[in-house]
Amino acid sequence: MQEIEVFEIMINGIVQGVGFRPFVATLAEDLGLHGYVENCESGVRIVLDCDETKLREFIEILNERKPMPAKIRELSFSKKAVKTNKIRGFRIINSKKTGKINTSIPPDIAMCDKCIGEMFSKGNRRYLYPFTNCARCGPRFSIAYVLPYDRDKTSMDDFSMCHDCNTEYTNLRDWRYHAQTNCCEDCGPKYWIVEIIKNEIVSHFSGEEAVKQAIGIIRAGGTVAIKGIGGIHLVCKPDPDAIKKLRNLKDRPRKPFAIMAKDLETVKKFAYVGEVEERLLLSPARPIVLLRKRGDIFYDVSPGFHTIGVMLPYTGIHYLLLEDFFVLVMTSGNISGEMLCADNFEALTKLSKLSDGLLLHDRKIVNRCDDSVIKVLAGKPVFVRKSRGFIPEVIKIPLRNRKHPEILATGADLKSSFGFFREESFYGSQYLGDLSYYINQVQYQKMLKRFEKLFDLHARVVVTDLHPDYFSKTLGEEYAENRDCEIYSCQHHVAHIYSVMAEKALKKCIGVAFDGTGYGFDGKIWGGEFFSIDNSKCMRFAHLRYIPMPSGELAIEKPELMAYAYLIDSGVDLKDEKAHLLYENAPVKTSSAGRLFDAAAAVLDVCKENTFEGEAPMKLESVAKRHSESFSWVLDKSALPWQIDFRKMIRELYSEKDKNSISELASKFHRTLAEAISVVCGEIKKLTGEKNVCLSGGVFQNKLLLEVAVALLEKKGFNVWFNEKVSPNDEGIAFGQIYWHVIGSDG
Amino acid sequence: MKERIITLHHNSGKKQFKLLKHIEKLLGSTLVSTENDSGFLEEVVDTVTTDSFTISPVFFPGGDIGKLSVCGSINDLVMTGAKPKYITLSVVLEEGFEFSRLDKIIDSIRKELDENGVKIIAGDTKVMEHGALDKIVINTTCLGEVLYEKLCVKRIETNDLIIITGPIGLHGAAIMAERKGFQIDFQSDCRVLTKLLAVIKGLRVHAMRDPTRGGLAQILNEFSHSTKRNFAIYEDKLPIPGGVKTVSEILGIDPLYLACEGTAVIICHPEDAQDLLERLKNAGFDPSTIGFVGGIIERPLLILKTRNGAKRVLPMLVEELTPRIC
Ligand SMILES: [Fe+3]
Ligand SMILES: [Mg+2]
Ligand SMILES: [Zn+2]
Ligand SMILES: [Zn+2]
Repeated sequence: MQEIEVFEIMINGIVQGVGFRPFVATLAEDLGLHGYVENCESGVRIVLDCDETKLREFIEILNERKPMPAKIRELSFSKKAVKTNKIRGFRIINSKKTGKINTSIPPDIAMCDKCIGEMFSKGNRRYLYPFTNCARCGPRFSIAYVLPYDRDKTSMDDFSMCHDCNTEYTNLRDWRYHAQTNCCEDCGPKYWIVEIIKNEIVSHFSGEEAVKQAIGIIRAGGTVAIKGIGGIHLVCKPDPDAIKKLRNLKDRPRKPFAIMAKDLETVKKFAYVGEVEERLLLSPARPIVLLRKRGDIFYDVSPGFHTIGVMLPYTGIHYLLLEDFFVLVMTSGNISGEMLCADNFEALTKLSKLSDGLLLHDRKIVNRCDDSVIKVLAGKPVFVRKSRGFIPEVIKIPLRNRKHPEILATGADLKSSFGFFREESFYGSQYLGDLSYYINQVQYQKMLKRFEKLFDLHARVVVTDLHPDYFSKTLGEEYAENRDCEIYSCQHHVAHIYSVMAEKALKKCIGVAFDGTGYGFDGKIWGGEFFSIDNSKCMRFAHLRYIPMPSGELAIEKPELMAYAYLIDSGVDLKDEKAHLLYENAPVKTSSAGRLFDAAAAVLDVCKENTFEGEAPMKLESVAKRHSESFSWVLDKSALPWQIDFRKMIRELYSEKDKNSISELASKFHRTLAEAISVVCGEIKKLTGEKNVCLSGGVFQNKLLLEVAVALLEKKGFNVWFNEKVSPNDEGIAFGQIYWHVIGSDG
Repeated sequence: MKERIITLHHNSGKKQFKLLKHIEKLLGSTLVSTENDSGFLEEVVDTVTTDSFTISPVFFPGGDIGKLSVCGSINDLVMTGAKPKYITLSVVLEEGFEFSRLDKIIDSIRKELDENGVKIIAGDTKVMEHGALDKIVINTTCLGEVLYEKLCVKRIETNDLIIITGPIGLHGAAIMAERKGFQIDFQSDCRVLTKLLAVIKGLRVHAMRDPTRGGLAQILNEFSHSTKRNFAIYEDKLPIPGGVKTVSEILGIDPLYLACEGTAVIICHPEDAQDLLERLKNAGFDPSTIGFVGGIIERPLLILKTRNGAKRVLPMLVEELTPRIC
């Protein structure tokens, strides 16, 4: 053995489970380089025996051509002297396991073109086999029990590879080398169809026949529950009758359904697809992208909304179905409120009443994930729901102090999602639904344990919301008690703002949280808040004037109640005894911007009842045509926190209702709020000099409000930031809770 | 007694004696003896419960604090399967409280005790300065004889049925409505439940509780916690009167957390449930089966099965009677 000088390249990020090593080997061989590549706990290590010019060329091409799902977070190289025999050729060395896991499994990856090609080529041994995948595509997170990502630690372990598959799996030169999901018709998972005929469970077709049968049911106007990657969808044609039936069964009168379109060309026929949207639609994560409809198409799918949620197929079964249809309605297979079904037995008990047949398969879904939902706001993708295709994702939080303890943040209850923090990295869970539902609580706890296992996490500190009756708070308290952790609680809207600050590594800002509702320090219901933040110090500078919330929680479902409250508060005599009674006996007061949207929507008769969260604001946005006028309002600075008083606006809105068009008034309403935001921020800046503004909270998913607010603020010279890595709604709370806690001790 | 209001003087010597005599007279034959400093029990008693009562308003539709303080303690005893025999009565008054109101309260105590054959074995009165308490506090301690030794939370089994003897939330809603000055067409259900002792005889009834503070959701949560089992109730089987719903809706409260003061929850073996329902009806109750006891589980909960088949968790509330708003 001799000592030779080589280059060592260390790469971390998503570099395991995406066919990275075979790619590196092929590239090195193409360039005629000698050396080897191996997986290690922190990612991938490459050793090259070459000069620096060759090395730089190698890195450049590597960055350029790396497999689509791979993500390089950090790449560093150094010269090293190693004792070795002369390196000849290029080798892949098998995984070594020592030390702490610091890598990540990739999220689920949409089927690649090569695999699609095989699935549709007659004569190929995978012809029409929907579980066709390779080293670069297929389910990942959703089938993984623990790390490292190896077949025996996933639900593919239930299937042992046949001779042919095993040959591919073990051949270094094969593109299915080490593809953990490798399988074929002979050895892999299979579909079968279950139909309920006269209360009897009948299962009469499997494989190709089952798929044909499912297509038949859908074509005849029925609904089929179809098990896919992250869970089970209910699928039907976008025909009024089929949708009406589904809406009745799901007790979902108006909430838009997502649709899956055959291809991009099809999407462009019914929706406007911008550059960013196109990239998102085609990305391996295959999220549902909210697009503006061309005219009033697909009325039944998204009744009264100007947008529609669209995704492209991402797994074999989708491609097989869409051979026969251009678009299909695809909605989560669940009982309203509960998380989507992923388990066969669960589907049989819950979905057989909602569907005409169930197309199930025998591969377990280990970590169920809903489809992710993304909207493009101010030119940037913003998560409405972050789940399949994006989870797990490790987000770096740049900090000065690297010795923070490991933290668990339990998030909020309505759109729950937890997160862990270790050494500058945030490990956020997928969207886990409303925690007032039993199975969502169960799943939340299950995923908590899974994350601990997957990433070897051991929290010493727990951060929860402030709300005394949140499940996530109770659970955090139990967790802290059982493991002797420190525990803290962070106010809901404060956490919203810190979630943006964490993304941008900001330590100071003016924070504007426009949100539904969250528990405030004073026991009132907050949701229209202006903060001045300096590291861990946070001051509530201003908020929307407190308004009684008639009937408490019920007002969230009934925008009409908020309309009563705002109108009476503005001095309008409604001549309605009941409205006044409700107003006077309102159990709580709120400064929520979401409730103000509800009120405006109800005053304008756009929406009087929320059949799903955010319906009224979405409808109000849908009817608004961009105008540059606004209503009057007052900033009351007589005491801190200042109060933003919209009573004048409400009066004007009410009196102009019969004179002007609803679309004009709705637009003026949005504009007024955006102006208020920029004026209040300007006033705060006069006192603090702060130039960064962070916008967060569910209300900022409103494109019109956000874009006008950003424009007005930028005109005033502000740097405006909003969430791009986590959702601005309550799914992003855990991320904010963590930053709120660590920044205090970050020096 | 000619005075109109109670004053601090009533704590001293002659006046105290006069006040006691006044109350004794009103209580009449329900009082066992006043000659000695302590009362003698002439019958066997082997169980005791005590409770202090304070309520605003003191008079409410369907009762007053006097009736409530008697029913409360008697029912606590009945729920453990015991027949109430004696009660002690301790009245603490705020100076300025009107005699006319005190008289009414004492009278309703007497009436309630008379009807149930329960005797007062000891009593006391104190007056406190203005602002030290809210008008009146009554403490009662009830003594009785255990008839059903086996009635105990520990006996609850998986698959037992949950039966409620009457409507949910009447007391809590009536009190709230009275405070807010709402017109209502219902009353508090405040009443004794001694009749249940005969009703459950010979049946496999495993536990009984009256859902007072915290309401049905609170006591079922407690059951679930101490039996380590999930408890499930069905939304569409819950007898919530329209009036209770209306008041709850206006005030943003879940009626399942509102107190009942004359309604019991009975956990019964499923095979005896039909008999129990029959007997309850015959005894003048309006019972319904509202759910069942689930299997043993690590983190037991109370679950509400909604109309569309989803399962919601009904937690023990930290902030009582404030809306759960996310
Ligand atoms: Fe929020
Ligand atoms: Mg008691
Ligand atoms: Zn592939
Ligand atoms: Zn095979």
